[in-house]
Amino acid sequence: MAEGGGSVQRLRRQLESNSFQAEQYVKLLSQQSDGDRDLQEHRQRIQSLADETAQSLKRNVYQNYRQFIETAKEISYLEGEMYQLSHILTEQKSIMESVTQALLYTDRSEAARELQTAFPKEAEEGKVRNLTTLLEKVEGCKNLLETPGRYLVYNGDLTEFDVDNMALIQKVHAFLMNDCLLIATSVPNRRGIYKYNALHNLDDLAVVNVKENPPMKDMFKILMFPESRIFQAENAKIKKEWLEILEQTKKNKALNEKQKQEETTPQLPVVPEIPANPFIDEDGTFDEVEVDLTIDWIQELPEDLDVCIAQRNFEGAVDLLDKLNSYLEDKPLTHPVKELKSKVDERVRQLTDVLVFELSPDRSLRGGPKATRRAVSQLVRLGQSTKACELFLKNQAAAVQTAIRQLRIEGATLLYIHKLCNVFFTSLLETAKEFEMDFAENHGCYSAFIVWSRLALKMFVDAFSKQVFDSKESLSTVAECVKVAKEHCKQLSEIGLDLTFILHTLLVKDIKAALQSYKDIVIEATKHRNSEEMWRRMNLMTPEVLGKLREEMRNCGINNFDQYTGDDCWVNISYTIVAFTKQTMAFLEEALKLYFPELHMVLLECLMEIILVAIQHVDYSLRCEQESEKKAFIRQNASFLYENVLVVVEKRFEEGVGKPAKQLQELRNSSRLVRVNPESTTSVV
Amino acid sequence: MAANKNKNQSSLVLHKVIMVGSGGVGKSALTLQFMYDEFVEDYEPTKADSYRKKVVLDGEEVQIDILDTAGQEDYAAIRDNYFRSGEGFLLVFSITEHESFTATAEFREQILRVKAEEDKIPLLVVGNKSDLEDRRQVPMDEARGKAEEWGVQYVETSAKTRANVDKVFFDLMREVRTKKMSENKDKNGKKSGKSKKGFKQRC
Repeated sequence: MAEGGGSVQRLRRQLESNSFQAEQYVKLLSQQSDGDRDLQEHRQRIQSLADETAQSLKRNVYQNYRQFIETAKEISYLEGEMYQLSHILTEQKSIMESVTQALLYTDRSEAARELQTAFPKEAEEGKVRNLTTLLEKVEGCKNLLETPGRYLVYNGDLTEFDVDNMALIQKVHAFLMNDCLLIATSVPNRRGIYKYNALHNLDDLAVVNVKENPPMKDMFKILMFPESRIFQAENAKIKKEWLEILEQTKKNKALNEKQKQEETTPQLPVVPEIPANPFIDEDGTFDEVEVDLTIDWIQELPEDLDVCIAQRNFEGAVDLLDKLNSYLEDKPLTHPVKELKSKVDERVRQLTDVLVFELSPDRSLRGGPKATRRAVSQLVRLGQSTKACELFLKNQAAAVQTAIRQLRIEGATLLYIHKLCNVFFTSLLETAKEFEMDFAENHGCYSAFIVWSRLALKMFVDAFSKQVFDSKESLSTVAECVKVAKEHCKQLSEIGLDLTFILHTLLVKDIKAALQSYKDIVIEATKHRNSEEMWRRMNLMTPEVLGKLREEMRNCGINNFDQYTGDDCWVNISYTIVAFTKQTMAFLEEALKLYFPELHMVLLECLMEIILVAIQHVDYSLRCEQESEKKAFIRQNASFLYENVLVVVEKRFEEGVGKPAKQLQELRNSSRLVRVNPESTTSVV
Repeated sequence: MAANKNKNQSSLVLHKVIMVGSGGVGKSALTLQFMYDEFVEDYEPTKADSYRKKVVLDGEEVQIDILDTAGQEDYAAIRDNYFRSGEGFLLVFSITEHESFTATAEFREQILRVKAEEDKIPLLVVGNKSDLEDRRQVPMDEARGKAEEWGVQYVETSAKTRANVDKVFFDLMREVRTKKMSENKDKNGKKSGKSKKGFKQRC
């Protein structure tokens, strides 16, 4: 037996091996066999092996099958869970929707109110979007979205029963919109997808609570002539919700339609509306607490508001609104209150519109910022501070622009600039003060003012530049004008507003250009003079003129000019160098008047360019001159240039700017070599 | 849906009855007494409740569907939708409140208007609260006279003592049954006159 078992094992291994070849195996077998008995035995062995294999195969299949079933079970369980999850999610979504709905109605906070009146469209759009996503799940009802202003109020799963015999018909999903009820049936095999079944107009249907009477439970009936349908909610609570929400929606719809009719005929007296509708007040089932709206002033409120608006008594209108709001503050939001509110809100909108029109820039430009105070302060009281701020600033911008335009352009630029600065900065100051007064409570608006100031300043600079820079005024006039503007700008700091930096930023480009163009003039003039250089002493003809020149040089900061003057009327320096000194110093003085840090490099470069022209001229002349007498004269000029003029320029620059100009020093020092050792430079050129 | 109604022939015949009348005259009390043999003392205004019960009418088992409507004025606008679904009407007033009796004329007008395309509409005038004889404001003769003028039956009931409660419901069901039977005969002759909208005065 053991031997037999061993041979079976061997046989199996043989058959199982990868390299097993049936043909070869049979061949080998037939070669080895010595009779049919042997073959018979072999066949039996193979047979038993086949049986055994079949058995184990069966066992394996069975085991796999069991595992398969288990997996399938698990999957269906998971599917169920997912379904539940999606159901819970939709439920929660509808809860969130109803919460936001409720919040929209009840949230009386300033912000919400402002938001609602300011952006009523956006809130509605959100609702519509909500509807869109939900209706995407329902086949065949895209046209529902074509009605503007339609939004989803409530939705949920229901089970429909036969009205006559209470037999179960189908599972449905009902969507309640603000004006209609959509019934959709679920599509088999596709969870969360529904198919259009019926659409009922809310006006045409009546809701009936079906009293509990086994087997009828948690049911309600929808009557729409001539048919009716019975639906079963999941539980009593959901059924109650459906009943309440259906009724409320129907009521709201009727109310809205009434309101629309009212709006189309606004001339009709609206006062009797509130008291003449006692049924709403009697509706005790709905409003747990009644709010007394029969007080005289509340009854007359809507009309009084109309009167106030018509008489442009905006303060009175806002006073009335405040009174109403404080009266209603701790009152519940019952139906009649809502109705009253919607009436009042309509008037608030009217009032806002009128005030906005009051503030529109083409209306009340004269009278300065104070003229707008009335409208602005009322708008702020209405909770529309953002709008008020925006309008006020727009209005002021227009006013400033007109004021600037109305200024007569004077022949003398400086005079015009004086006037311009006066007009602009005064109105800026006034606006700022007015702004501070009107929006004292609304700190959030201050940034808007800063932004506005920047824009206004831009406007000012445009006008300023047009006059000062475009007309190619002399640098001294430019410097004077800029100084005036800067001084005015500094005055703003008394109200805590410093626009100097912005002014600089706006002006820097034009000033740079002015400096550069003036530098070009100086260079051109210097070159022209140099071309006619004779290297001769200056004869000023009279001692008076020499005295004048001395004075001028002293003013330029050159104190030892006397060293270079001869007797009577002679100056031991060439005319070109003297003229250059005067012009450069004048340029430097004006430029320093304009100076602010952004201009540092430009000014420095300009100065270096100018100085380089003179230095090159002197150096070149020194190299080329052969006459030793003239050479000595040129040396004298050079020493005057280097040791006096350039030093003074550096000193003035440092004084005016507040830091030493290293570049200028380097320029002077690098050139000294040339001057000290002029012979060596011949090879350089 | 209309097809569903006729689908299940095995189910019982259903008579749809609507309770009509001013607020507080006892429509719900009558209904509850008929349904559950109990008298509810507390007053709570109804919005719209529907009841259903199996009863034996002249040896035949039928179902009655009672729609108990709101009497309050603010439901007036949506009342049309309720009335359309009814086959028979119990026009209820309180004998202790003359105004409620006067109001019946308006309710009747509304029913006729809503169901204008139908011939005689099954309707009973019901004077409720007959147990409060000492506070009677509507004389029996006046009510009876009105009912005769309209060509309908007048019955006085008490939801409290259950006097005549069953009678009014059963009498109304009989009228509904009679009307349905005659309509079925008519239908064999010509196609239903229901869809046509004729505004003739009837009753």
